[in-house]
Order: sequence, then C-alpha cells, then structure tokens
Amino acid sequence: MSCHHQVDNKIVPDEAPVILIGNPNVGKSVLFGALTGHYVTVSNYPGTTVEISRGTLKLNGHARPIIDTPGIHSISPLSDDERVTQDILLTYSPTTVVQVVDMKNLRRGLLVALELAEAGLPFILNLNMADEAKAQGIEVDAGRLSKMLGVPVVSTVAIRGIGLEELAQQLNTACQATYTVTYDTPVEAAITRLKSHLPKTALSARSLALMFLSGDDALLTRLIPSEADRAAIITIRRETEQQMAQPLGYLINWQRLKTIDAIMQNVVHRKLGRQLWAKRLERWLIHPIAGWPILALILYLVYLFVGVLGAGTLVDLLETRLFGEIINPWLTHMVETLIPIGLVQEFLVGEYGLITIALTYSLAIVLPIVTTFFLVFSLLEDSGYLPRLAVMLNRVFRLMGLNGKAVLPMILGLGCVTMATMTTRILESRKERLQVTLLLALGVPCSAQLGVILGMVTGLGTMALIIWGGMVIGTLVAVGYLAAQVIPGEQSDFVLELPAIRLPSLRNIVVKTVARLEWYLMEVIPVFILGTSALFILDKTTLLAAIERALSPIIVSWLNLPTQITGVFLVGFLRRDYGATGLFALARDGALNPVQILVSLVIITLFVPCIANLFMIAREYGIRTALAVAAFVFPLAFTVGGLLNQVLQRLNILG
Amino acid sequence: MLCQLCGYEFEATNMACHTECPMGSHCNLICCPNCGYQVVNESKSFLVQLLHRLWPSSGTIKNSNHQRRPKNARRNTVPLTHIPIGQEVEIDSFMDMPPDRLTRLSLFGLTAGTLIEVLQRYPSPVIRIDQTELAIAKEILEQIWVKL
Repeated sequence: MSCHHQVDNKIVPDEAPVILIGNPNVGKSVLFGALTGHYVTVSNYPGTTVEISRGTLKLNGHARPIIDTPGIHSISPLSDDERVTQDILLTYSPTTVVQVVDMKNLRRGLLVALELAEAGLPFILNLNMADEAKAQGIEVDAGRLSKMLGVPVVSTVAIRGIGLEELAQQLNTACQATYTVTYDTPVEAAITRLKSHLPKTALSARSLALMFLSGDDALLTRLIPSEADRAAIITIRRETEQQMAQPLGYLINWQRLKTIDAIMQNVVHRKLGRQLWAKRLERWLIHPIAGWPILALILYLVYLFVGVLGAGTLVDLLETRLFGEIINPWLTHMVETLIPIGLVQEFLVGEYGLITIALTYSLAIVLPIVTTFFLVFSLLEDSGYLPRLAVMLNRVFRLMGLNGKAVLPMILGLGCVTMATMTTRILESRKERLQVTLLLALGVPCSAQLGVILGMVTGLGTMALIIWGGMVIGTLVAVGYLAAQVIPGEQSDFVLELPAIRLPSLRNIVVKTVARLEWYLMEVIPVFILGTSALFILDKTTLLAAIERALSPIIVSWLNLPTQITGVFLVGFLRRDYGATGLFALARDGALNPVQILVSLVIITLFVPCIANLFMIAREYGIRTALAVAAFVFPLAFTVGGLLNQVLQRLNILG
Repeated sequence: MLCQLCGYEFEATNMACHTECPMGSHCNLICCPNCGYQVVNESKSFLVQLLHRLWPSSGTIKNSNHQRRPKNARRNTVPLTHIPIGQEVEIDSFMDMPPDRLTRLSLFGLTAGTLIEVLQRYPSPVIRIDQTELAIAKEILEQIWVKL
C-alpha cells in the first residue's frame, strides 16, 4: 500500500538507513537477523558502552544499511540503552523507520507509533508475532489500521520467515503518518509557547515539546545550549503542570491511550483463544511452591551441561589430548629448534610461557566452559525464563537491597564475571549498578573456576560443601545489605515485563553465542597473555619470591596455610582458573589438610576477580571505583578466610 | 536554638566559627557563643546518619502501611491488594505514587480506566494488563486503586 496524500512528501533515498525500533521482546533482533543474513557488525555506539548491530539489507540490487536499536517503551528514554535509540532517531536523517510491534500487545506498540507520527518520521508498522496473536484469538485488520494511521502496515512471523519479503518490498513506501492526537487545552497551549525555543532536528518541534513536557531533562540539556531557553522551557512546564491534577508525562500517555483504545475498537477483534501449553507452563514457572523445584531442576541441568560436559569432558579433550599431546609438544619442539635464545624459549614455552600457559589455558580450558555457558544462557534468555527467575529470586535480592532484575548479571557472572560487569548497565540506577558490580567482584565464581572448586569441595564431603556455600552466600548477602545502606542513591522500581514463553530458534541461540564468544576472545585473551607475561617477569626478577616472603606472616599465622599458597593466590588474581588448579595441585600433593583446603577455597572464591574484570570495572565505572573495589575485596577475603580458619580449628571441625 | 547549659538563645545557622573556619562545612558541632558548650549536629555527621539507617530508633514507624483509609479516597474504590486473584477490575486512580513511577507505569498501559487483573501475589506480585504481564513490587500494588 502506498501513500496517497501529499503531506510534506519527503523522498527517502535508497541509501538512507533503515532503523528498527520497538518495545523490548517484540522480535526486533530476529527480524534484523532475517533481513541482514551474514552482513552484520556489532559495535559500541559512539560515546557509550551500548552495543548496536548494523547490517546491510540487499534488495532489488540496492544495498541499504539497517540498524537494530535497543528496545524502548517510549522515545523519551527510561534507561541508558533507550537513550541510544533516541539519539539514533535524532542523528540519522533522512531514514526509514520500521516499528516492530508484538501483535498481541498492539496497545503498547501504538504508543510508540503515535510518537513516531508526532515526530514526523516516515515509518512502516510491522505487526510481528502474528502466530501468537492468532493463538490468543486476536485478529487485527491491517488494512483498516493502515488507513487510519496513514502508514503501511505489514504482518509477519519473523521467527519463521513469514511476511519478510512483503516487508522488504514495502520499505520504499514508508511515509509520515497522518494521524494526530490533540491533547488538553493547557498542554496544547504549552506546546505552542514552547515552539519558539526549540531547535530544528530530525524530530518535529511538536514531538520535542511533548518530550520536554513529559520531563525528559537529559534531552533538554543535550539539545538546548542556552541557559535562558532552558529556564524558559522549565518554567512553561511548571506552569502547565500546576494547572493539571496529575504529572504531565502520565497525562500525555493517558490521552494517547484513550485515542489508541478508540483505534483498537475499530481494528482489533477478539475470539476465544486456545489455552496453550506455553501459558500453562508460564504459571508453573513462577508458582510460589512449584516454582522452586523447577528452578532447582533447571539449575541442575545447567550444571550438567556446563560443569560436566563443558568443564569436564570438553576441557579434558582439549587440554590433555589436543594441546597436551599434540600441539604443545610440537610447538615446544619448534621453538626450541628455531630460537636458540634461552630466555625467549622460556617466555614462549616455559613455566609461565605464552604458548604453554596463556594460549593453552584460554583456548583449551576456559573457551569450552564459556562456550557451553553462553549456549545455555542464550537458551534461557530467548525462552523467556530469565525474567521469571528474577521473580522467584526477587525476595532474596531485596534482602540485599537490590531488586530481582539484578539476577541477569549475577547469573551471567557464573559464566564470566568480566562480561557480567558489562551487563550491569541494564540496571536503571547507578547505585544498583555499583552494588552488583561489587558483589560480582566479591563472591561470584566464574565458570572457569567453578568446576575446579566444586570438584574439590565435594571431595571433602557434604559438610564442606555446606560451609563453603554458606560462607560465600552469607558474605554476599551481608556485603550486599551493607552496600545498599552505604552507597548513596535510589533503588529503582521493580517493574519487570514477563514475555511469553516460547521455543527459541536454534539459529538465534547460536548467533548470540557466537557474538558473545567473539567478544570474549577479542577482549579477554590479550589480557591472559598480558597476565602471563607479567608473571613471567615477576618470576624472572625473583619478585615473585619476594612477594611470597612479604605476605607469609599473614598466610602462615592468621590463615595457617603454607607459604607456597601465596604463589597460588597471586597467580589466581592474574588468571583466575590457574589459582584454582594451582590449589588443586597442592592438595593432590598432600601439602594441605582439609581445613586448609576449605579455607583456601573460600578465599579464592571471595577473592578479587581476575585482572580482566578489574580492567572492565575501570572501563565502565572509572579507575577510582576499580581500585576501591580491589581495596575492599582483598582484605575482606583474607579476613573471612582467617575467621573461618580460627572457627574451624577451635571447634575441631573437619580435623 | 537554646543552649542546654547556660540557656543562651542563638541562631545555629551561619555561625562565624563555621563560615570563617576552613573546616567549617565539615564541622558537625554547634558551640554556644556564650559558654562554649558543644552539641552535635546530627544531620551533618555521616556516621550518625549511617547508624540511624542500620539501627532505627523504636520511635520511628518503619512500616508506612497504615491501615487507615486515606481521606481523599473515592467511594467504592480499594487498593489492588484488596482484590482477589483472577478478578479483572478497572483502575480508578493512583494514591501517593511518585510522578516517575506513574509515568513509567503508564508506558505499560497502566492508566485510569484500564482493566487490570492480579495473577499472583507470591513470591512476587504479578499483574496483567491486556496481554502484558508485569512483575511489580508490593508497594506499587498498594498505590493502585481500583473500582469495586
């Protein structure tokens, strides 16, 4: 369907980028993947740590750039991620916008559509997930909706590839909507008054005015350089608000929803839907009683896949067989033959060698574990279970002064704490981001470490497992609670959307895993190489021995551990897994008794994360924060370990 | 304020010993200009504020969940917490809800006149508006008032 009106006909050139926007969980990324095929790059949006996917859409011989944006609830952002979407809409002009809507949640989707209409952006409305809507008995008259709004409307089931051809063909017919919303008189009067203060941007003056009236202060600072203009705008907003009984942001949305309800009456028809297996499953997953055993079962399955298959079988295959028997001996031989210099030989293949340690470790040990973890995590993500996990654990997190949304980074931390620290930016308040970062750095063992630790702990008996688990969780909860009191700032509201449970597409899971792996390989392996080189230098300059001697008073008397363990802790900081395996080696050689092993395990778990994580904290939150975290966690780990040691010895537990 | 020792009345703000002294802004003591008696200014002490939070005095009401009905509540309206699970009701108004929260909820379609249903209360409250399911904190549930 093409536009048959003459409203300010902007011709959008073929090279103008296509921008996908929409609510979260509507299938934007699936659509993006389907439209772009192989040609995708993921990079940071300039000036932020938010990642944006860009690709190329090939159609009729033309190649058009297409950009996927973070999900939004409104063009006025609620979080840093959403701010990027607003920025993209402000920056790229001209563009074609495709708004992806979950057909069964049309009401919310139309809120954004109305904003696009007000902004004067040419767009297409894409009603996605048509299959789920049909199953619920929801039918939408796309033709009628298109006539009412004045933009093309296309239905799709992106995950099955249905309707994509038509969508791509319709891209050139995107146009500005004709539908307008009229607000209450004081609001309309305010909009008129504001117009003279507003700059020209890709979004219309009317839409900017409404965003300022709704309270988008960050946008105010960004777009209005003059203090006088800003003061004038704030005054107009205050004066308007005083005339109304409710906050302006709410009233504007309320007005929009009223007109949307009128549209929906004409366009949406309800029939009786089928009770799907998915709907019933959704009830059980968050059931106050049944939800817990289900959670335990899921966690156990994750453990089987990551801990046993990944950390056990795959690591064995790669480390012992591939690297141990084939690659390393061959490379060692090559190096020793080709390079006569002893020092260089040692640097590459010696005790702290680049090849024998850094590469072997990161590729043979950590990679299979992290791969299996990311696979499982992507599966949980796409199936819609993760928000339900947050619902189950919300009460526990509230004890710690967090809300359930923190579940996502914390679970991701069991895979790789460095990556999880990056994910903390989905949390809305800075206070919560800092809290979770601290807790991740403190007590969450990453997958590379977890396998070895669990293996050793269970070897000491169930009592040891309980003590270890109790100490770690107890420390986390206590520190979390204290941090909530001390760190200034607001806790954000616990408002979490529960998306429909659906069977994820294998392709999407694999794509997500590959993307995360790529990040992991590029960001983390260089750090391992750096860490090993640092160790090499420390060892060669005998500084390592010196540090061991310096720390030994604490190690020996307070912790009752042999001096060799200093090396293990030091190494554990630079390469977290090696700390655990070094401990394993000491224990196997009989150098430690059960109490010592348990104390060391607790310390290693509570220890500062690997150096890569510190770098990540510095990158996201600044060097001062990173140093503060380190300065807090190290002493705490030793203190808790020492206390545990004293208690175990006095009470004669574990002999 | 009134000095507890000598009874001298003076203005505790803008004291010269705070404005002239370089440490003045961090000084958490108030000294009587007449007799020199020192009293602690609790609002300026970080440690005291922390102590208040970790160990609230028994005089404070920790739980603001008053059982009394607010005066401005309309007839035939009750908070959503009073509605049984599975019953669909219409939102009437929002009681004492901070503006940010109000705006955020409106983006999910939660406005006066919308139909809402409580799906469960434990382990976390979950509500349904049309086809959207939201897990929300209990305090929010108490602030949404619906028509009986």
